[in-house]
Amino acid sequence: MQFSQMKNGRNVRHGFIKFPTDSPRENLTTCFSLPLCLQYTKDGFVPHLTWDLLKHVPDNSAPALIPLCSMYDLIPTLQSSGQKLSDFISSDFNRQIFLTDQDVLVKRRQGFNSSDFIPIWTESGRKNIYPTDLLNCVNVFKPDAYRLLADGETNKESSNKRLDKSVHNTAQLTKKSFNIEGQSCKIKPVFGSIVGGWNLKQRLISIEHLKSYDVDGYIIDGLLAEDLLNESTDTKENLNALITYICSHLPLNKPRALFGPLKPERVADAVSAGIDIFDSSYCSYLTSIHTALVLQSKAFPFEATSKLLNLADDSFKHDFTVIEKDCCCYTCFKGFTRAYLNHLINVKEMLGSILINLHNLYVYYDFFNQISYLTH
Amino acid sequence: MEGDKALNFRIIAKCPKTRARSSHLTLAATSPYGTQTLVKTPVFMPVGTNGTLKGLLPEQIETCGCNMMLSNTYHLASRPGSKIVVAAGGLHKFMNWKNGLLTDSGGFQMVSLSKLMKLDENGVIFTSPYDDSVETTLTPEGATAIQHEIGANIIMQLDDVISSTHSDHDRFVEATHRTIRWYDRCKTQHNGYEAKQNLFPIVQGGLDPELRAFCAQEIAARDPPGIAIGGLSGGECKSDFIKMVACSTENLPENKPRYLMGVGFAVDLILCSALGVDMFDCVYPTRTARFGCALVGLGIKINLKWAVFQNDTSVIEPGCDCYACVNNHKRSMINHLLKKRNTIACHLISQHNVRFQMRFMNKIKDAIASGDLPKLILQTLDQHYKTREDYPDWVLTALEILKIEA
Ligand SMILES: [Zn+2]
Ligand SMILES: [Zn+2]
Repeated sequence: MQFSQMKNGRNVRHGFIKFPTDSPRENLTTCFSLPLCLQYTKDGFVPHLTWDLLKHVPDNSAPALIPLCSMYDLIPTLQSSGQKLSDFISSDFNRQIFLTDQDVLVKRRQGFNSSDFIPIWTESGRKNIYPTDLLNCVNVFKPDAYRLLADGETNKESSNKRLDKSVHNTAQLTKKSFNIEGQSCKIKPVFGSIVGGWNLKQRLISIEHLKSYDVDGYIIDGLLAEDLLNESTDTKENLNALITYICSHLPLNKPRALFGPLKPERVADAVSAGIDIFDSSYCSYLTSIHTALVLQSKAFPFEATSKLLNLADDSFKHDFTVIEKDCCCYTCFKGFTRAYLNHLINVKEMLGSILINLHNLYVYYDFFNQISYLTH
Repeated sequence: MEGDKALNFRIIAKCPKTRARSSHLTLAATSPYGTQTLVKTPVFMPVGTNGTLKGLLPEQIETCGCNMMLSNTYHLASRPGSKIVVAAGGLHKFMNWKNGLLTDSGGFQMVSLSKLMKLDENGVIFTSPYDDSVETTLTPEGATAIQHEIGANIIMQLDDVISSTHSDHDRFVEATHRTIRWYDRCKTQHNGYEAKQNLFPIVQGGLDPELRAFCAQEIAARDPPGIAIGGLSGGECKSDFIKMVACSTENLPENKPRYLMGVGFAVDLILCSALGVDMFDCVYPTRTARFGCALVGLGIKINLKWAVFQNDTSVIEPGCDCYACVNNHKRSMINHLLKKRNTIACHLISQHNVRFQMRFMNKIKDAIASGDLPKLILQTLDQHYKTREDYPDWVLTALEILKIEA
C-alpha cells in the first residue's frame, strides 16, 4: 500500500492512498486522494442502490466498505465459485474492497467480547470470529485492505473497567492476529484499531501497544454511531479534542480512518484533526429516516453547515420544488419534487429511499471533493 | 398523429392462422411533459399502483423496453390525492414518466372493497380503507374528472363491476346495461378532452355470450378510440374466461385496440393475443418479484429463495438482456440478498421480470408477423405442462376456438 501525505497552508493533511491490486480489470481505480470516503455497504450493495446507479454519485469509484457480518453467510458460496468477492457481486461493481468485521450502523448486543474472538451476528445467529477465522475470510473474499479484530464496543457511558477490558482485548487480538501459525496476516494491507472510548489515558495505552506492530494504517474505533450522531456541543467539542489528541500521537506516515455516521461539519473537524479516511454511512442513516441533507456555504467546505429536511413531514405534501434548487444530483436534476418524495414515503414505496439516497450521497461526496480540491 | 385524435391505431401484421394482430398504437402527449408514444402491440403494461413501479427509476423502466404502464386511480386519489397530482402538473410530470400511461376508473377496487360499498344508478359509495369516517361517492362523471386531473393517455369508464361468479343473471343484465349508460355519462364528461386523452369503454356481460355480444356491439357503435374487455378475472373458471374473451373479440371492430384487464401469465397472454387482444396489464411480474420469483424461458417461474440456488453462479436467465443478467448478478447473490431481506433483490428481479414480459411479447409479435404463432403457443404450453394430456380444459377450449391441433 502506498500512502503519501503532507500538510498544506491550512495545516491540513492531504495526499493520496493507493491500495495494491491483483485484479486484471483495466479500468479499476486504485489511487484515491485524501480525504477518502469509502462507500458504505450492506450485503454487498450501497443501501437501496444497484451499482449502476452509483454513476450518478461523484465518488470516483471509492472502495466499498464491506462489513463481514453482512457477507459471512456467503462464504461457502464464494468458496464453491472460486471467485473473489469483488468479481462475485456483479460485473458493474468494479471497485476495491475494504473489509471490516462490524456494520457501523448496526447496534450490537454487548457482553460477548473477549480477548480471543469478537462476535458477529449473521442470518444464522452469533458467530465468534477468531483471528484465524478472519484470515480465512480474507483468503476467501480477497479484499484490498482489511481491519484486524478489535473490541471497540464502548460508548460514552462505558465504565473504566470496561474501557480497560476493551484495550486489553484489542491488544490480545492484535497480538494473536500477528502470530497465526504458518501464515501472515499481512497478505493484504491491514489496519489496526485504537480503542479506549472517551478516555485519553486508555487511548494512549492502545496507541502505544499498536505501535509495536507493522500495521499499514489506523482506525479510530471505540466510538459508536449514537455518540457520533449526538448533536450536543459538549459531544462535538469532546470528540474534536479526542480525535486531535489521538492523531497527534500517531505516526505521520500512515493513514488514519474514522468510520461511522458523521455529519459534514464533523468530517471537516476530523479532517482538520488529521483523519484521512471516512465512509458514507451518514447518508444511509439519513435516508433510513427519510431525511435529505442540504449543505449551506458549500463553496467553503470547512465552514459548511448542514440542514436536514425530513421529507416525511406533511409540510412537503404540496411542495413542488426539488430538494435543493441548484443541486446537480440525479434526483434534483431530473426534477423529482419534495411532494413526490413525500408521497413515496407515505405509501412506503421503495423508490423514495432510492431517490433520497442518491441525493444524500451526491451532496456528501461533492462535499468531500470540495475539501480535497481545497486542500490540494 | 392524424387530426385531433389522441390515439392512432394501425395494424401492421395479421396472423394468418389465428385472430392475432400486431399494431402500432400511437398516443398523443397529454401535457407538455409527456411525449407522443409509439406502443407496439400486443403489449404488456406493468402496474405502478402508486405512481411508481416497484423501486425502478423511470429510466430503468425504459431500459426494460417498456414505454406504457398503468397506475391506479383509486390509490392515487386516496394518496396523494388527485388535487396534488393536478398541482404537480399531472401524473407524467409528478412521477417523471414521459411515455404512455393508463389509469383504471377505480371500479375494480369496488369488487375488492364490496363490503364497504353501496351502489345505485348514480354511482358507487366507498369508505376509505385508510379512514372509515370518510365516505366518497364515485360517479361516472367523477371517475372521469379524476382521470382528467391525473392526465393519463388512456383512461377508463366507470363500470358496474360484479364478480363473474355471481349467480343472479338479472344482476348481470342490469350491470351490463348500466355499464353502457355509465359509458355515455363518462363520454359526456369527456367532452373537450378527446384530443389529449382516450376514454375506453368496457365490455361487460358476465359469462353470457349473448349479453357480451350485445354489449360489445352497443359500445362499438359509439365509436370509442379503443375498448376494454372487463368483468373477468374475478374467480370464474378459466374455460368460461377464455370463451368470454373469444366472444368479446369476435364482436369488436377490427380497427380498434382491445385491452384485456388484469392478465399477465405467459400462457394467458399468448392465448388471448391469439384471440385478438392487443393490450394487457397485471401486477404479477413485479409482485412475484417481491417474493423472490423470477420468470424464465416461456414464462416458467423460479423462486430464487430456494436452497438449490444458494451456490448457483449463473444469472437469473442466461442470455437475457436485462440489467441484472447483463451485469452478471448471480442467482446465488440474489438468494443471499433475499435471505437478508435486502430490497436490492427485488429491484434486480423486478427489472428482469419486466424485461422478461417485454421479451415474451416481442416473441409473440415476431410470431404473428412470421405466421408461427401456433408453433409458439405449443412451445409455450410444452414448457408449462409435462405432456399434452396435462393441458387443462381451458387451454383445450382455447386451442379448439383457435383451431390449433394439440
Ligand atoms: Zn439533489
Ligand atoms: Zn434478466
